[in-house]
Formats: sequence, C-alpha cells, structure tokens
Amino acid sequence: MKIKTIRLLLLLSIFSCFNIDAKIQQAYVDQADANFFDQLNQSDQDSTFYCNAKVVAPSHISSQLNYDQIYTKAICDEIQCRQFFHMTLEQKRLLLKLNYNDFVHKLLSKDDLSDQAIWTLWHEYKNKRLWDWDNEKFENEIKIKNTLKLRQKHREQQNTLAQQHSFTQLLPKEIIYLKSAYELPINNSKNHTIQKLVAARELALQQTENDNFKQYDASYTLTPQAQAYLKLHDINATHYHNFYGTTLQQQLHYEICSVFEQAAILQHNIPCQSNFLQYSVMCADAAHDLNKLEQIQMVVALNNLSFQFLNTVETYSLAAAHGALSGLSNMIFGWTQLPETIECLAKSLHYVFESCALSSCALEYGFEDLFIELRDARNEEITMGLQALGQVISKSTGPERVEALVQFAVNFRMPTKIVHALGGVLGVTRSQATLTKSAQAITTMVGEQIAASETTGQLAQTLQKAEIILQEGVVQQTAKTLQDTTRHLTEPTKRITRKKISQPSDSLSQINPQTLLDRNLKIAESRSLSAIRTETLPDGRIRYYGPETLASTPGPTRGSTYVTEYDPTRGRIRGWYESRTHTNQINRVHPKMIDGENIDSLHYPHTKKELENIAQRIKGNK
Amino acid sequence: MYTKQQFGRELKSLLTQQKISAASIGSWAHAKYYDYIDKIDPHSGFGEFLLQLGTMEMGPEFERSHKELNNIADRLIAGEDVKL
Repeated sequence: MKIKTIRLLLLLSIFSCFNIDAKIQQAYVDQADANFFDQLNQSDQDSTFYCNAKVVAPSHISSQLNYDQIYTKAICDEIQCRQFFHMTLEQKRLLLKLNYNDFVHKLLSKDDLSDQAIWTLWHEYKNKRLWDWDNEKFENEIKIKNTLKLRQKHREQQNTLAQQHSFTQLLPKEIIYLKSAYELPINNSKNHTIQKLVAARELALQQTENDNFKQYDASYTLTPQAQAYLKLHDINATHYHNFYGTTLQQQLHYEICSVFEQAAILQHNIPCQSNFLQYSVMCADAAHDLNKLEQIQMVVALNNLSFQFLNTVETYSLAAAHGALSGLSNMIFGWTQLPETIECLAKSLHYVFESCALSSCALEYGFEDLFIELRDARNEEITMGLQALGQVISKSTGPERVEALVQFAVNFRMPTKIVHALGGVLGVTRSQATLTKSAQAITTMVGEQIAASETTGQLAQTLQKAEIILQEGVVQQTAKTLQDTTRHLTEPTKRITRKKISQPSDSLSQINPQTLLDRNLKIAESRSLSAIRTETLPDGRIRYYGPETLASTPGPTRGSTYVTEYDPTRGRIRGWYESRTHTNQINRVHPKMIDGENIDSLHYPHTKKELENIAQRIKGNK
Repeated sequence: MYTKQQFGRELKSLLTQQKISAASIGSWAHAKYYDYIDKIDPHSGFGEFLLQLGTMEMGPEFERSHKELNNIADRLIAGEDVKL
C-alpha cells in the first residue's frame, strides 16, 4: 500500500512538475510575444529585434527546456511575415493553399504588398506546384512582371510629384525674402535692345510670382560658332546647356546665351580680336555665376552691360567697315584683279575704326582702359596716314597701288606700333639698326605725348604699355594679310586660274576647321539619334540610314533612303539619297551634302531629264 | 526651334508658285533640314520627314502632286504628325 502511495505521489509530483513547466512556458511565450511586438514597433531594425530576443529569454527556463530557441524562431518568423507580407503566417499558409486563379486575384489585389513580397509569394506558390505549371501560367508570370514594373513606375512618378509639390509649398517668410531678392532694377537706358529685354524680364518676373517662385530645369542649345568662341576664352560651353531656376532666372540665362551667340557672330565678321566682345563675354560669364546664386539685380546689370558692349561693337565697327568699303570703292574701282587687296584694306581700316570705337566707348561707359591715350594718339596718326595713302592711290594705277598700300603699312606714320609688328613679319626690321630706330621712335612719340614734367618712372610705365600694344596679335594679323597681298601680286595668273575652279572643297577651306569639325559632329549625332539602321565600314566610317520612302508608282524602284556617312577619323560628313530595287540593289544615287553644305550634283546614273539637258547643251555648243 | 507648323506655312506659300516642280520642292525641303538642323528636335521625327520629302527629287516615282503637298502642308499647320 505504502509503495503504491509513494508511486502515486511520485507520479503526481512529476505531473505537477510538467504542468508548472507548461505554465511557465506559456507565460514566457506571452511575455516574449508582447515584448517583441513592442520592440518591433519601436524599431524596424531586424538586428535590434534579435538582440532584444536574447535579453528577454530568461536563462533558467532555457536551461531547463530548449523551448526558447524554438519559440524565438517561431515568433521571429511570425514577425517577419507580418512585416514583409503584411499578414500572419497562418494567413500566408492559407493564401498559398488557394487555387491558382484565386491566388493570383488575391495577390494582385493586395495594394500594401511590395513588389518583392509579391514576387516571393509567387515563387513559393510556384515551387509547390511545379508539376502543374503550364505555358499559360508562365505567360501569366510575364504579365505580372510587367504589371509590377508599371506599378513601380507609377509610384515613382507619384513620389516625384509629391516632392515637387512639397518643394513649391514655400513658407510666407521665404516668399517675402524672394520678393525682395527678385526686384528688378530701375532702367533708364534708351537703348532699344535693353528696353525690349526689360519688357521680357518683367513678364518673366510676373510669371515667376504666379508660379510661387517655382524652379525648374530647362535646356539650351548654343550654336557651334558660339561654342567655339567660348572655347577660345577657356569657357566650358556645356555649363550653359542646362539651367535650373525660376522663370526669371531662365530668362536671364537665355539672355546670357544670346550674348555668347551674338558675340561669336560679330567676332566672325571682324578681322581682329575685339576687346569689347571679350568684355561682353566676361560679363555674361560672371552673370551666369551670379544667376545661380539668385543675385538678380547684379545679373540684370551685367547683362545690360554685355548688351551695351555688343551694340557698341556692332554699331561702330560695322559702320566703319561699310564706310571704308564704300569710300575706297571709288578709288579702287576697276581693280578687279585683286579683290583680296580690297578686302585686306577694308579689314585694316576696320581695325582702325574699331580702335576709335574702343576708345570712345570706354569713355562713355567709364570702363577702365589702360591704352586710351596711346590709342587716341595712334588714331590721329592713322588719319594722317590714310589721307596720304588716298592721295597716292588716286594718282597711281594697277600694281603701283598695291605697292603704295604695302608702303602705307611699312612707312605708315605709326612707327611705334605697326612698323615694329609689320617689321617682324615682312622682314623689314631684321637688322639691328632698324630695331634701334623703332625703339627710338617709341621713345620720341611717348616723350612727346607726355609732357616734360612727367617723371622718368611714369615714362617707363608708358613704355611698358606701348610694348604690350606692340605685341597685339591684331597688328601682326593685318601685316600677314598685307604680305599675302604682295604674294598674290607676283602670282596673279595662278590665283586667277584657281579662282575659276569652283568646287565645294574650295569654299570649305574658308571655314574654321574647328567649327567644321564641331558642325559635322553635331550632324552625325543628330543623324545617329534618328537613324533606322547603322552600318560601320571596315575603315571606321559610319553610315546612318533613314527610313525608306516607298515609290508611289509601280516600277523597278522599290523606295529611296537618305544616307549620312560620317568619317570619325577625318571628321568629314556627307549625305546622299539612294534608291533601291525590289531585290534590295542600289539603282540610283544622288549626292546631296558634303560637310553640312548642300551641293548641286547630278544623279548617278543620270535621270532621263538630266540626259536630255546634257544632250541639249551639247547640241547648243555645236 | 523650327517647327512643323512653320515649315507647313512655308510650304504652303511655296506652293502658290504654280511653276515650281516637285523635285525643286524636294531639294528645298532637304536644304531646310540642314539650314535648321540645330533647331530641329532629333527625337520629334520632323527632321526625318523633311529628308523623306526630299526624295521627291529622286525621280517621278517619288513625286507628289501639288494637291497632295497642299494637303500635307495643311496637316502640318494643324499640328498633325504626317508620315510619308
């Protein structure tokens, strides 16, 4: 009996022990579960969660039973499932048990699921039913992929819009600040161009205020000529291709780009490096930097100055060129054999008159110019020299006129400037004696100009300035042109023969090679963007084929295509139309363009009309 | 920016000259492309349209009547995308 009682007691105690363990275990799970969810709400980091899980598990329980690891894992899975799939493990299990159609429907109807979650669920479902995965389901898989991509794009767009919207919502204080910063300066200029600009700016300012100072990105295209001109001034043209700012800032940026383009055109028209154009480009470049900082008033002032510089050069120098040409045309009338000489003389005069413009303009705008005095003196001498030249030319004929022109340059009454520079080019000042003479002339002139009361130090400074002028490339350029003229005089027959041969390549030689390369590259880029087919030849040439235009009438020809061929090694480009037969053989070619220039060429083989014209011409000659 | 509307208007005025041949119009369209290459959006397809119109000088099988060209000009002015 006792033994039986003891056994019973032992069994009871063991049972109660198990019961206690189960209770403790349940309590632990509940507590852990609650703690874990709290922790999860506080932090989304999985690492933090695992770390906290270890802290919560009491060591005495884990030592008794190994439940903690099992439950921790179960809870982790549960939480991960809720976090990632937005559903419990049970819900997920039920979802994966659904038939195919219901599964797809439920999966896609869950808007809160991320694309990755949808894709994970899809793969889990697919892996369980690979034996039943037919082609239709594979196609569906692709469709779902596309749907997800579209949805992702839509979300991104919405995010971008939301960002833009939040950005435009400026605080009232910020708007007050911007309104004060965006005030346009009062303009008193009578200049027509600037008055036009002022109207455009006011309109842009109004638009800016209506848009609540919203900033946006806009792209600009500078002409290849302007880009090349900026390159000359070590300015990176790509910095001007895009601008981010308000409508007013965009208007100011547009003005800056216009300054560059106009300056490039003017520079192309005048023979020498114009200081004024350089100043205008410098101003515009500075304005660009300030525009980025929203220093509106400064930008407006600089832009006005840039346009004033441009207008000055345009008005003075173009009028000078025109005046010089018309004034001299009477004297050199009939001298048709030497058009280069006329051009050269006009260019020299152009330079002279531009110098006048520089001086007077510098005074008008108060722009600091170190050489005003010297330039004024030079201009007086130029006037006298021109008068003397005019007298000589009116009395002489033919080659004597050219000689007089060269003599004008060499013996011109500007010993300090032109003779020295010309001497270097023409070889006049090769001897030491002549050099000394030139130096003496400089001293004499400068000495006369500054009064006797000037100190020696000031004289030295003035001499230094004169030396800088001596190095001006402009003078050397004029001298070179004159030298060319003399060379042409000795070989008139050769020059005239060459002139008679009129080929596209002749005219191309007049274009600046860098401009030509830039333009060709631009054409090639444009064609590459719109080409239907591209073909690279073994020597590196690339051919861009446009879309085919089909023939409208039945016949041997199927259609015609425009082809552009770019040679990257030489930088040359050409274009032609080619028509093809129904067997894709080329049956006619018509060259149309070489290096961006339209050419007037015959078809190869010639068309019926062309053959008739040729026959008629031959008949006429006979 | 050189637009198709602008070109349409120019084409329309060119077509008022009765004696102008289709080949000359083709040549003119080709020249326009290179005159305004910087001002034509390469993605718009307008440049390709100009070059396709240029094929009219490749022979009578590519020529279009003045009536057709007038119609094209009208559609261009209206802002439609014209495909040849």
